[in-house]
Amino acid sequence: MRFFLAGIIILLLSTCLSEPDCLVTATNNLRISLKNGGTGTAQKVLFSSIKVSGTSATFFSTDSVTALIVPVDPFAARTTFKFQYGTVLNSKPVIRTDSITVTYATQIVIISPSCGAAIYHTNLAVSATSFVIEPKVVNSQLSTRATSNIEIKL
Amino acid sequence: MLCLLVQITFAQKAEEQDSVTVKDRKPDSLKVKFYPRSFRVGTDLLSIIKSHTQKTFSGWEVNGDVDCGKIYFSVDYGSWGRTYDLSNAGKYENHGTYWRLGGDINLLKKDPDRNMFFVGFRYGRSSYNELATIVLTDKYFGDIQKQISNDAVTAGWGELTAGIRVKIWKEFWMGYTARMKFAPSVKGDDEIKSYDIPGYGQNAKGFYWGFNYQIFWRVPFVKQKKPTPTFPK
Repeated sequence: MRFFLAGIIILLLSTCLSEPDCLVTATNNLRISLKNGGTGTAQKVLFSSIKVSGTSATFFSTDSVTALIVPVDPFAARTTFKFQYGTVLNSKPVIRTDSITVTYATQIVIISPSCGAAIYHTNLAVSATSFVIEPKVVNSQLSTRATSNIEIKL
Repeated sequence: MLCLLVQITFAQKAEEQDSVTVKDRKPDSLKVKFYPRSFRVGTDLLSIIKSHTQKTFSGWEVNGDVDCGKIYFSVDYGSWGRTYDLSNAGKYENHGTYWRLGGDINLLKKDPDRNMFFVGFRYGRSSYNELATIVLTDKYFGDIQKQISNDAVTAGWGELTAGIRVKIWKEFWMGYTARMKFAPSVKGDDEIKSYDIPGYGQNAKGFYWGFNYQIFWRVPFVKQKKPTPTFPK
């Protein structure tokens, strides 16, 4: 009986150690990796502007990049991105504009009273695009741990 | 309180040992037949105390069990409401009812008062609603305040239990039950992932501990026969 009581008390105290922390993996950042359409290797691209529906902010890259992080609208079910970027067409440098619309499910999760709530975005899908090669979803959950969500081949 | 209960148990044992002058044949509950002898109805004192001392909790719980010999069938019914202030001026509240159904096995084989040290299993179900006011901030998309609710949520889970029941005076009993709750499954939490399940606790945790400190009143179905004393020749 004494061992049982001691065991119960230890188990009850152990629950005090399992309080949640505020390390939340939820994010509204969409990670896009850019690949060469022919070789499938990383492609460096210079973006002169990226417009995102739901915000007036315009994003751009100062250098050529092989990956992008752009925000999806956390309060909507879809977001459209319009990319203006430099590329080479028929051996000539040109400025192209392409767009992609992504849809996703959102779920609000309360982490704890002190940490508050976070929005998780899951079931990411490409619903419309003007890119010649359709972008591929490689990870359908937006997460701080994800290395890439969508691959765009140029 | 626990110590008091344990002391009472041992004090009763010591008293029995001192006062016995003739050899009694104590009933062995392992050998007794399976039939309902009594039922106990009680309540959880911790729920009542928490309702009056904690701002975040309001609730009560009624407990009952039927003595069928070594096995006791148990049923619980309760009400549970939580209110939490969230960071960023948000708020969460839920309210609902729950029940548990299961059985206990008394491991005390020879006890004339039918005191219990038991282990058991319960299946719990809960139906409730949740309401949350969430304030979210995004540097590009601005701030948004949302009021979201899950109107008809149901949840189920399992419990492994252990505890004691001790006869205090006549038909008045006290005891505690420790619960290891596990495998919660929730349906109907479409708007917001269910945070707190009445009768269970935080949904995010795969298992959760519970503890009840209970008082009971026992109502016998049949009058228990006193053991026949055997006098030494």
